[in-house]
Amino acid sequence: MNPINQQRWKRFSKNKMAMISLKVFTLLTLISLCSELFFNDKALVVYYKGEFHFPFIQNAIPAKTFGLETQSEANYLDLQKQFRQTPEEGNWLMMPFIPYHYRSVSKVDSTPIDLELKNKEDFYNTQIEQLQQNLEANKHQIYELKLTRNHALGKIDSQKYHPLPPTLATKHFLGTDSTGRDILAQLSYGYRIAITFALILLLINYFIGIAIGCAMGYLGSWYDLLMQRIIEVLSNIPFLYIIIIIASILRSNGFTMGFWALVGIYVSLGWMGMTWYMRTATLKEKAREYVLAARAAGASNTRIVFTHILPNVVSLLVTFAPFSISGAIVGLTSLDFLGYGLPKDYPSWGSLIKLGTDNIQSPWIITSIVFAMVLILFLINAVGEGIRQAFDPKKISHFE
Amino acid sequence: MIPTFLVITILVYFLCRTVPGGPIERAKERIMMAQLEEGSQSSGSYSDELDKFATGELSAEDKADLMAQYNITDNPWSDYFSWLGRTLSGDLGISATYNEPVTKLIINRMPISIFYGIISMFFIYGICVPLGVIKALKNESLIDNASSFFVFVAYAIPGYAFGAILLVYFAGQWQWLPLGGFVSDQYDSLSFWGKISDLLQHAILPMSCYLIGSFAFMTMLVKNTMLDNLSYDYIRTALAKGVPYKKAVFKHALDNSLIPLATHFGNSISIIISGSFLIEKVFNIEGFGLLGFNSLESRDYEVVMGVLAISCVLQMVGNLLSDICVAYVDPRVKFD
Repeated sequence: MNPINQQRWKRFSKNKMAMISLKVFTLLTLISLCSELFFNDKALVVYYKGEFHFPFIQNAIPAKTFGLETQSEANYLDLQKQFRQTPEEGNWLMMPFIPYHYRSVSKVDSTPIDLELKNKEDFYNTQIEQLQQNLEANKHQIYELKLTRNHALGKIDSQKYHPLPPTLATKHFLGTDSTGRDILAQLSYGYRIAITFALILLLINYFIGIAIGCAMGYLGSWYDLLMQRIIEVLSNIPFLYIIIIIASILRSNGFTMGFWALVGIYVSLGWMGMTWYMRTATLKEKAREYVLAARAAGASNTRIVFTHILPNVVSLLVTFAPFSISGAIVGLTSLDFLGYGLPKDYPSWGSLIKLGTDNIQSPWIITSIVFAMVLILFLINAVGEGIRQAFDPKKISHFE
Repeated sequence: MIPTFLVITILVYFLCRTVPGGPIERAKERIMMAQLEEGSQSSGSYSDELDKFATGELSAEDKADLMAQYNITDNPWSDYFSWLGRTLSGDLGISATYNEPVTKLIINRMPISIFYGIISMFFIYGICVPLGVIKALKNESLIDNASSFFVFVAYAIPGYAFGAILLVYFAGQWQWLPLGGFVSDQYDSLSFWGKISDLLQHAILPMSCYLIGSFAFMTMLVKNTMLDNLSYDYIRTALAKGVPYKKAVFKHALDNSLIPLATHFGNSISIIISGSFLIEKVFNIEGFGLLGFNSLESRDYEVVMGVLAISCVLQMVGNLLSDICVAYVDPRVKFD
C-alpha cells in the first residue's frame, strides 16, 4: 500500500459509522454466502450407529441409511425428534440455526380448540363467538372450523393457514409466506443472489469501463467521437422497457431469462457510466506533467497507460463501488418485483416485496423484506460515504 | 439529440415487431376461440369440427383489414418510417387493447402524473433547500447528525418498497387511508370539499414515496455544495472586507449552491410528467408510467411506441430546460 492509500485508510478507519457499517455488512454477507450452514432443512451432522454423516454438503442421503422406511431423503426434523425419544441408542444430529431452506415448505399444525357447550342449541352461537375471539386473539391467523355433529360434543379442529406470523416455537423468526416457506431463509438466500449479481456486474462494468474509457481518453480523435455518440444513444435508452421486451421475446420462445442472461443485458445497457468516468479521468491525467515527463524520457504509450495513468485513475474507482453495488441490488429487486427478473424458482427480494403487497393481511412479510433492504443499503451507502470522505481530503471550514 | 431519438425508436420498434403476440396474432386467437365455440355447439363429433374450423387462419381480406388498422405491412422499415411520419404529425395510432387513439389515452393520463409531480417538486425544493442550508451551516452539530441519519435511511429505501410497506400498514392493517387508485369510485358524486379530501387521502401515501427518494438526494446535494462553497476563498474574502455574515452566506454561497440544483431541474421535469411506474404500480394509480408498463405487458405496441416517443421528447425538453436554468443562475454560462 502506498503512503496515499495508507492515509486514506487511516481517514476511513477513523470514521466510526463507516467502520461499524463495514463490519456489519461483511458479517451479514458472509452469513448469507454460507446460507447452507445457517438456513437449511438438512442436518449439519448426523451421528448414527457410530458413523458421522454430513447431509448439508452431501447429495441426498437415502433415508434408509438412518433406519427409516421412506424412500426419499429423510426429514431431519422428524429424525431429530425420533433420536431424542430414544436417547439410549446414542444417535444424535445437529440442525442448522434455522432448520429451513428457502425451498422447504413447513407443515401446518392443526390445534384443537376446546369449546364448552351447554347444549346443542348453544352450539352455533358459541361457534361464532369462539371464532370471533380467535380472530381477535390471533389477528392474522385464519381459522377454518371443520364442523361436524361430533364437534358439538366439545372439540373443534382448527386449521392454521400460511402465511403464519413470526413465532419462536417453530423457529420461523420472521414468519412464513403464503406457501409456507420461511421468510428469513428466503431473505438470506435472496440476498446472496443479489450481492453476487451486484459484484459480478461491478467487475465486468469496471473492466469494460477501464478498457474502453482509458482508450477513449488516451487515444482521443475519431475513436473518442464514435464512442461518445454510442454512449449518448445507449444511455438514453429506457432500460426497463428494453429488459421487459427482451424478457417477453425470450419467454415466448420458451426460454427463461436466467442469471447470466440478466447480467448480460445489464452490462450491455449499463457499462457507459463507468466508461464515461474513466474517459474524463484519463483525459485529466494525460494533461499532467508526469505524463509529459514520462513521454520525454521515451516511455511507450503502453507503458504510460499501464504504469503511470492507470494506477492513478483506478484507485478512485473504489469510491464508486459501493454505490454501484447498491444500485445493482435495487435494480435487480425492482425487476423481480415486476416479474421480469430472475426465474420464479430463485429466491429473490423483489418477489418477496410482491408477495408482501399481495398479502396485505400478513404485514410481517413486507416488514421483514423492507427492513432487510433498508439495512443492507444503509450499510453499503454508509461505507460508500466513508470512502468518499476518505478520498476527499478537503478541509471544511466553519465561519461564525 | 435527434439521432438519439431515431436510434431508440428504431430499436424499440424492431424489438416490438419481433415479439410474438402482436395485434394480428391476437386477432387470430380471438377468431380461433370463436370458431371453437361455434364448432362445439353445432355438432357432436367435436374433434372433426375442431380440425375443420379451428385453424385460426384469417381470411386474406381480414388480415389486410387488420394490417391496415394497425399500419403494418410486410416491410418493417417502411412501417417504421410511416410510424415516424404519423408521429411527427401528432397521430400516434390506435391502441389495440383500449380501441382508442393513443394520443387521447396519453393526454388522459398526463394530469395524474403531473399532479403528483408538481406537488412533490414543490415539497422537495421547499424542504430540501432550507434543510440542506441548515445542515451545512450547522455541520456536525446535533441537528446535522440526527437529520443525516434520517436522510441516510431515506436514501436507502427505494420509493416503491417504501410505498409497499406504507400500503400494508396504513391502508391494510390500520385502514386509515384508501388502498390505492387516484380517486375513489364515487368521486363524481362528492361535494367540492369531499372531492378535495378524497383526492388528498389518496395522494398522501404515493406522495411520500415520490418525496422520499429525491428528498434525501437533494438535501445532501444542497448540503455538500453549500459546504464546498462556504470553504472557498471568496467567502473568506467577502467576510474579510466586511460583508455581513448573513449576506455572505445567503447571497454569495447560496446563489452558487443552486447551480447543481438547476442542472437537476430538467430531469425532475421529465420525471414529473412521466411519473414513476413502480410507484404507480404499487398504488395502482392509472398514470402515464403505468400506461407504458401495462401496454408492454399486453403487447399493445402502438401505445408502447407512443409512450416511448413522448418520454424521449420529454427528456430532450428536460435537458434543454436544465441548460436554460443553468444559464439563468450561473452568469459564467452564456448561450452564443
